[in-house]
Amino acid sequence: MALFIYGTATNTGKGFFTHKDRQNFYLSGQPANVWVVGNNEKGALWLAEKNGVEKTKTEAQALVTAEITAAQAEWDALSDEQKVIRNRPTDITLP
Amino acid sequence: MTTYKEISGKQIKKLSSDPTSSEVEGQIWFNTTDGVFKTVTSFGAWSSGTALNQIRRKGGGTGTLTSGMVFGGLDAATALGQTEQYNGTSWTEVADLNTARGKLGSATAGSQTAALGFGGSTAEPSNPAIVNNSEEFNGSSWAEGDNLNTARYVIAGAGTQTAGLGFGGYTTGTNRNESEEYNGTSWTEGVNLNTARGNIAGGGTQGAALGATGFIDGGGGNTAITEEYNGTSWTTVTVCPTAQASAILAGTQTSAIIFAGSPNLTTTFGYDGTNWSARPSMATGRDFSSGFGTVATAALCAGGNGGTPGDEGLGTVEEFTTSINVINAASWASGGNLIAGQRNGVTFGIQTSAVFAGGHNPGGISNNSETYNGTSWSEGNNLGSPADNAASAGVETAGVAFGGSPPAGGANNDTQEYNGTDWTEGNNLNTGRYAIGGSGTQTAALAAGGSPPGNTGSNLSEEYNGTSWTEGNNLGTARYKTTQFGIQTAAVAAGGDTGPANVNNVEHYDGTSWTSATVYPSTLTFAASAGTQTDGLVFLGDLGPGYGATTNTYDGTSWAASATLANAGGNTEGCGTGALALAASGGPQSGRTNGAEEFTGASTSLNVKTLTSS
Repeated sequence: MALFIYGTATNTGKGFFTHKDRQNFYLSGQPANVWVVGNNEKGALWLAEKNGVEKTKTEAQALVTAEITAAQAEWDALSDEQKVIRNRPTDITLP
Repeated sequence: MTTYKEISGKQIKKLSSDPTSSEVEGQIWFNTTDGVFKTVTSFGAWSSGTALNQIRRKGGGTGTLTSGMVFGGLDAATALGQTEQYNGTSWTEVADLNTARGKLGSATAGSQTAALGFGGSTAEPSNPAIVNNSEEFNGSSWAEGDNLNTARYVIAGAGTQTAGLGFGGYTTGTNRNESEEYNGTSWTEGVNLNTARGNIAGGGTQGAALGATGFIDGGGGNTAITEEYNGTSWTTVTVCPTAQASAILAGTQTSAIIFAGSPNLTTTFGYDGTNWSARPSMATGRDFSSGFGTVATAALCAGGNGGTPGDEGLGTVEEFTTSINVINAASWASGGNLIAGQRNGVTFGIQTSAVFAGGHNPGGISNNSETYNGTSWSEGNNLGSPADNAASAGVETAGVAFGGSPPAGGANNDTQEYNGTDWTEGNNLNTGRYAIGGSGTQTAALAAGGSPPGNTGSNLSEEYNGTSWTEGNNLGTARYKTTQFGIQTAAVAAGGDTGPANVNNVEHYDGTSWTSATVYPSTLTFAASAGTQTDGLVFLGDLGPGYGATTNTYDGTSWAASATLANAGGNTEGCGTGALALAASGGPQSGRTNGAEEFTGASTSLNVKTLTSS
C-alpha cells in the first residue's frame, strides 16, 4: 500500500487541519494547494472532508513543479540586491 | 432500583468535565457531558537510563530505582568485584566485593547501606569455580558473611541483609531445590522448592518470596513455573505467560514485574499475587542482566547480554516507571488565513492577539497591516511607510517595527510604533539595516545584526527604550537574516548569513554583551521564532538545502527537535511563547503565502479512561 495520498484542497484557515489531525496522520502542504496526506483511514477522510481532489503522485508533482517554475520566473526578474534577501525558490520533490 | 450509595455507602460525583488534578487517581466520576463513568488509570513504560560505568552481565542487584546498586557479574570470562550505586540519575562506583564473582544471588529487598550477595562463580565457565561465601555491604565496604550450606551459582534471592533468602541454582550437573534463610549472621537450611532449577527470578521478602521461571538443566529447558514462599513452605502457583530464564523480578509476592528473561526477551509481565498479565516491553531484548526494584511500579534493568554477536556484556540501562499522566505531543494546526499574505513581514504579539505588517508580495513592498484574534485576521491601519525585511517587538497593543528595506531599495532606519490601532513614527535606528533581528517590548526592544545596503552582515546591536535607540555592544558574528527572540536583557540570535555563508551560530544577549551559545542543529536563515531565552522556539527557515518545516525548542542550553509544521517555509517572523506560538504568512513559494499555523507545545494530562461494563 502506498504511504501517501496526494490531492489538492484549498486551505480555508482556522480548523483546516487541527492538532488532532496532525497527530492522526502525516500532512505536508505544498505549492499549488497540493497536500501530501498519510495513507490511513483518518488521512483519507480528512482529504474528502476538505473537498479535496485526489491526484496521482505524478499529477501532484506536475502541479508543484509548475508553481515553482512560476515563482522562479518571478525571482529571476528581481534585482541582484533583492535576490539575496528573497531566497531563490527551490525545487521540491514530493515524497 | 438499588443505588451505588445504597450498596457502597458512597456517592459518585457528577462532573461536567474531567478533573485535572492527580488527586483523582483511584476515583470514579460520572461525566455529565459525555454521559459516561470515568476514572484515571496508571500505566507503565520503559525508558533509557544512564549507562553503567562497567559493562556486566550476571551480576547482583538490590534497592530501589532511585537508590539501588549492582555488584559483581562477568565481563566476558572475567569475574567482577565492582559495585555501582544509582541515585536515579547517575552511577557511582563504590567498594569492590572481596571475592569477584558472577551469577551470584542477592537479597533483593536490601539497600545501598545494607546489601547481601551470596554464592556464584569466580570464573566462566562456572564449574569448578563455584563459591559458597556471602558478603555484606554496609554502605562503605563489603565484609565476609557466613557461608551458604550448599555452594551454587545462578542462585535466586529475596529479602534483606538481616532476613535474606537464597533458593535454587546449580552445582555441577545438578539443579538445586534447596532454600536457605539468612538472619544476618548465619544461613539455615529451609524447605525445598517444588521444582529444582536455576536462573530463577527472585524477589519479595524472606517470609513472602516469589520465585518465577528459570532453567531446568538436563533437558528441561526454560520454564514458566512460579512458586511462592510463605516462610514455611513453597507453593506452585500460576505459571508465567512465557517460559524464560535469568530474568529480573522487581516488587513483592503480590505485586511484581518480571523482565529481561532469556532468550533476550523484551517482554515484561506483571503478577498480582494470582494472575500474570502483559506490561509494556523493553526497548532492548536482553538477558542475564542485573537489576533491582522493590516495587512493581519502579524498577531498573542494567547490562546483560544483548543477544547478537558483540553484544555480550551490555552497559546500557532501562528504567521502568509508572504514571497516571500521558504526554500530549506538541503539534502545529492551521490558523486563520491572512487577508493579504506577504513574505518578509513582521509579526509580534501572542497566538491569540497578534499583528502582521509589511513585507512584500508580487506587487511589491507593502505597508499592509493586519491583526489576529486567535481565529481570524482583520485589516488594520497601514504602516506609515512600507517596509520589507524589517524587525519587530512587543504585543498587539504596544508594538514596534524597525529597519527594513523601503520600496526604493537600500536600507532604512525607520521606527514605527503601534498602539493596537494606529502606527506612528518613532525615533530612528542609528544605522539603517534590513533582514535585522528584533525582540523585546515596545519600551525595551533590541535590534541586532542585519545588513546595510550591499548585503553584508552587520554586527551592530541597538537598544530601544520607547523613545530612542542607543548603541550597545556588538554581536560576536556579523550577520543578517537571523531570527531573534527573548527580551532586551535575555535575548537569543540564531543563524543568519555572514555574507559569504549561512551559519548556525547562536548568541545570547544579557543586556550588556553578546556571548556564544549552543549552535543551531543546522545552518539557518529567514527562520521564525518565539518565546524566551530559556523557553524558546525556532521554526521554518532556509536550512541549507532548502526551506524546512522543522521546529526546535530551546531551553537556554540545548536545542531539541519538536513538531513539524504542515507547510515548509520561511521569510516571516513568528511570535508568541514557547508553548503557544504563531507562524504567520511567509513561505518560499507563491500560492500559499497567507497561511498561518499555530503551535501548541507538549503537555501532560491525566490518563482518563471511560469505564465499560465488560
